[in-house]
Amino acid sequence: MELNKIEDLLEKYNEGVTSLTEEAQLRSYFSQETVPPHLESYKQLFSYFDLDAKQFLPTTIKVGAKNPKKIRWYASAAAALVILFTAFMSITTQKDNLTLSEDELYAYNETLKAFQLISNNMNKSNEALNSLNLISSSIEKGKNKIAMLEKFNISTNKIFKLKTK
Amino acid sequence: MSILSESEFLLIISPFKDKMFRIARRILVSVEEAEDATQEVVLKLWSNRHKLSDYKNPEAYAVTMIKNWCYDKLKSKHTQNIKIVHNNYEDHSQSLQKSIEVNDSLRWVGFHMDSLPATQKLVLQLRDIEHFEFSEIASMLDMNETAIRVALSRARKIIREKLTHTHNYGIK
Repeated sequence: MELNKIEDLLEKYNEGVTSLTEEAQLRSYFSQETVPPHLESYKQLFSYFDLDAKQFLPTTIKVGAKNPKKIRWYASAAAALVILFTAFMSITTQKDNLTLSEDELYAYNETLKAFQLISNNMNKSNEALNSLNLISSSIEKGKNKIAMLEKFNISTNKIFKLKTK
Repeated sequence: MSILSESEFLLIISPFKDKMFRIARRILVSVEEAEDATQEVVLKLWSNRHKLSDYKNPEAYAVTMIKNWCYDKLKSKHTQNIKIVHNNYEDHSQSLQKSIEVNDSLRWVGFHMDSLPATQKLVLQLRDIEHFEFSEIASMLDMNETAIRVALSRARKIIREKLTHTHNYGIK
């Protein structure tokens, strides 16, 4: 298309009075590699429009399945419910502990006593174990002394051998 | 009247689902939010599918719906101040990153277009990128054709003026 016709169309284009067909003509003209320098800004404009028109929806549309965002929402709601439930349960069970009957209190105290007894005995046997430790260390010392004796023995034997020679 | 099946429905919307996405992205700026918007509006159309075949132009109906949905979204964002500040920050870096891959001079066109007043921006998108007739745009935006032409003319002139400014900036 001749330049002056393009320029006429551009003037109409700027006034917003071009038809879709005329605008398509302009787009095809400006899709060519080089345009006169004074029309360079139009080329930018139309290239941008062409580029943007090629942007596609990156995700596929689903209508049968539930919206994943909604599912996420339901999941968080369910999680909150579970947390509330456990909190509720722990609070109520704690209340049960506070209102013990006499029998239960007695049983509770008895169990505590029994545990204390066991713990005391444990400590005692621990002490016994300590004395065992003490014995073990004395044995260790004795062993060392025996080793020294053995060395002494070897040296005396050597002396004896020298003497007999 | 028979209700549309899922595949029939998808067949009807597939020619313009990308248009819906692009319009949503132009209004909301963020790609992710535009995807969500498109998905939401398609679900709305699906639940009203018995009406869809009544419309002469389901495409124009869908565009009107997504436009309203996005404007509502923007309005609700304005009431949540902290969120909008954060989103604005994110969105700009994202759109910037996306467009850096593209030619630098084209990036400016997008930038200038995004900074137009809301109506001018949308009219330009609907006409020069989505190629709708003036009568269609008029019914989508609930404006008369003259007002559409005026907004369009202003938008086209403003962008070109800004482009010649940025173009000459390095030379002068």
